[in-house]
Amino acid sequence: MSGFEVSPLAAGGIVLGLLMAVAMLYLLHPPARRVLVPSNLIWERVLRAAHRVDDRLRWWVSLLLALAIAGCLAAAFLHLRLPGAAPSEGREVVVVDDSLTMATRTADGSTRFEHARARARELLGAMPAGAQVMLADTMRAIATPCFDTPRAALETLAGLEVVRGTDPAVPDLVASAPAEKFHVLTDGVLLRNLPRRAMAVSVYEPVENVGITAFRVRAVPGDSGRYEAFVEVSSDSGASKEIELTLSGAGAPRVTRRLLVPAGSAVNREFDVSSFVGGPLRAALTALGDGFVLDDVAYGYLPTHRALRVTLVSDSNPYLEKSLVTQPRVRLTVVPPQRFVDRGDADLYVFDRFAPRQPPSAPALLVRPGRANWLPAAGGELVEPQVARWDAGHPVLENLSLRDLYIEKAQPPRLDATGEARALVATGTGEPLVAASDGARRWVMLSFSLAQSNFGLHAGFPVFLNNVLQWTTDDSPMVDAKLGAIELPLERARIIAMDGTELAVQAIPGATRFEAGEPGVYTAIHARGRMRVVVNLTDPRVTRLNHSVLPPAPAGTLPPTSARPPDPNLVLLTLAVALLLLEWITYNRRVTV
Amino acid sequence: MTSPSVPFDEAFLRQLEHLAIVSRRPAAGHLRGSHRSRRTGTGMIFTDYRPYSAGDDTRNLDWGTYLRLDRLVLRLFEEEADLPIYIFLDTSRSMDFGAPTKFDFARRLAAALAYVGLINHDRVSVTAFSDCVVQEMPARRGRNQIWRMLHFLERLRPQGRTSLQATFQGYFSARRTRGMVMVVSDFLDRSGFESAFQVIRQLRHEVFALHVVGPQESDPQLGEEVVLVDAEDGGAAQVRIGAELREAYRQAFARYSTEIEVFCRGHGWGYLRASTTAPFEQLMLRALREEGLIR
Repeated sequence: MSGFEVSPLAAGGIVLGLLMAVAMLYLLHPPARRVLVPSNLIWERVLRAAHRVDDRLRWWVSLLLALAIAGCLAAAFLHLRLPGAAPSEGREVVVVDDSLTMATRTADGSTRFEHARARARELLGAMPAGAQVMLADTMRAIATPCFDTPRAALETLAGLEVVRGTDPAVPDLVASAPAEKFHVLTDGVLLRNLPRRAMAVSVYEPVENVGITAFRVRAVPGDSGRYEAFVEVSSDSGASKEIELTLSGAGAPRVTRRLLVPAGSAVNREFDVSSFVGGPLRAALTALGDGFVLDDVAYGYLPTHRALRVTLVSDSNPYLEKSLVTQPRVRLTVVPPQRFVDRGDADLYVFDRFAPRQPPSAPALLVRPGRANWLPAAGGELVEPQVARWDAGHPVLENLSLRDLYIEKAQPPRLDATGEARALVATGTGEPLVAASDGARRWVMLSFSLAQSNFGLHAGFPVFLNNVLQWTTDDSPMVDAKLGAIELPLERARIIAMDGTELAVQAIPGATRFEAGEPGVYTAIHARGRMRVVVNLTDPRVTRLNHSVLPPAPAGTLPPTSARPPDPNLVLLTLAVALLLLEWITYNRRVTV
Repeated sequence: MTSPSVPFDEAFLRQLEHLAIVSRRPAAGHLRGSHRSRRTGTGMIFTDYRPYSAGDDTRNLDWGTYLRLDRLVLRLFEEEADLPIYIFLDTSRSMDFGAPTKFDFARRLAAALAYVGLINHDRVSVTAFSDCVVQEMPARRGRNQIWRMLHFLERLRPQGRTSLQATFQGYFSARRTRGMVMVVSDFLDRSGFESAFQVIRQLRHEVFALHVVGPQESDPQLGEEVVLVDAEDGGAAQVRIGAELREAYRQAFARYSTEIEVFCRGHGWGYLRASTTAPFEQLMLRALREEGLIR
């Protein structure tokens, strides 16, 4: 900063001091010379005829004018020198709103964002080459805004796109940047709070819009086999809109309904989706003249709700049989080992003290299996092995405590470090008591029989079975998320979109972040399993595209220059000049002293 | 004539000796003088005839008429009387301004007029006044009263306010012979001059107003911002004097002087504005003569 710096307090002190000095000069004004004259008779006549203003009043008027002039000049001068204000000379900040509603398509076919970018380009183009401008956005796509030349800002502007986020804001650091002018180009829908000094350049233009504001897939209470989808459609149009709502998924034909959505209100419908086999469900609406497409689609995830066919291959194990039968959705078939034939009609095999020669066609739970080539080789028998550690984070052992597990005898497998099988429960010497493989066919192995342990009597045993069913049949957990940046509590996960493409992720300690640009069902694959991420834009704030805090912008034009607040320094200096002129006139007309 | 305040040189005095106060009305003096009076007597100017009565002065019989008509007819002549001259000299504080001061100028003027009156055997009285009669030199007659009169003027000092009305009312409350009233003053009287002059007018005196004006009054040269202190009453007025206000004052003063002149001339009186900067001899020998006060 050139020149001197003063704090606002000091600036106020300087102004006050200057005003006091002016007042003091008036008070110290030398008294008028006393002149003895023969008589005031004639003078009094003259002064009466001249309608003389009272001298005291003239003095006060003169003093007030002088104070006003001094105040204006001091304020104008100090305004240029205030810290934070001095460097603002010739600097401008241009903030472009790149939140989701800026993707709204206007009557001319361009989006609001494209309008904003064009107007930002006009602003930047009108600046002199040596000017300093800071280009920023409301969704922080520009990570480090800084003052630069208009040309550099234009280059940055060219790379700016709408960010799929619904929480725009002018960054505080940008809002407090020292700048003479502060432009915010926005539609005023999601960005409702602007910095006080900001000059809003509106790109808002009313549009017709109908969107899905809610989409939920849920089980029908009291009937776990039935599912229904709830859809809410909202309108922000000026008139009633007729739409076509389509629900599609796997295993059943799509469902289409015509709906009439009154202006400015919402309608909702429920669909029976029990006929769908499970997996992603897609709700889409079609409306004529719709200005915003991102809220026309919503996704849900229908859990697998068919019965699980479980085949228990065992001579006799009532504990295990009863435990499996009590599991929901399990349809149990018990087959003795000698009659076992893999027909491929099971969702899960449970082998009790038996192992088929060939790997089964379905995932398997193996309880003290015998020797088989597709299984790790068995090691030596352990007597009363102690559970030293278990992987509580694995889906199979989720919500389980194995602290009081007693095992009389066990024959742990020899796990190859390079293989897909790994120990879930191990002894102090690392012998696996429970192992699992996440290979082509998942399996879970208990290295001990239920009869030679208390695990079958354990309170957590049904939980263990349920975990095995969940993990082996891949009924992945599901989370809902909003469009935009999503952070999952999964370390080093891969994100797969619905079309099979892998998204770029940002790995952070204990979590994975990715950008969901479109509504859909994303699959997060991590070391311990998978997670479905259902991403939707079911936000009434976004659908109400016409609820702007700004007036509609004149089509294709920037607001007139007169709408911009004038430079305060110029105003103050002009005022000072006007006051000086007034003082000169009043002095010459004997109104002031 | 060695007084520093009322100095006249010999040549000027000789010129004054050729002058005489002129009255437009017949003089009402009781003594013989050089002014026409309404009385008939032993004057030089023939006025009328009347039949002779026993006891009349036989020197005025018209013997020619007697020879033609055989009747005794007496010739009548206007009797010449002296003129009572009342000189009022303003000695208020407002007169003590200028260089020379208006007071000195007025005092010289009064002395000169008194001198002219005395040498013409008029009865001259000089009255110094401010807000009332301050000092009075009773009527004197004859050349030998000149020194007394000058001594009287010499002792006067400016003091007090101006009140013409109080002065005239006080002075003429005593019985005074009708005559010539000369008022030498600046007429800066807050009560106005009209009411004062009305007092004299009712007594049918002939009046001649000698308005003494200093340059500071007619065209004041004052600073921008001054407090004007009235010399008579001490009143102050703060003014910022610009060209506009100065011109307004000049016009107001001229208007005030004109008001006095118009009043005097309206009543058949004489008026002369005497500037203290003008040559005194020229004033006496030319201006007053032109105004008809002296011849």
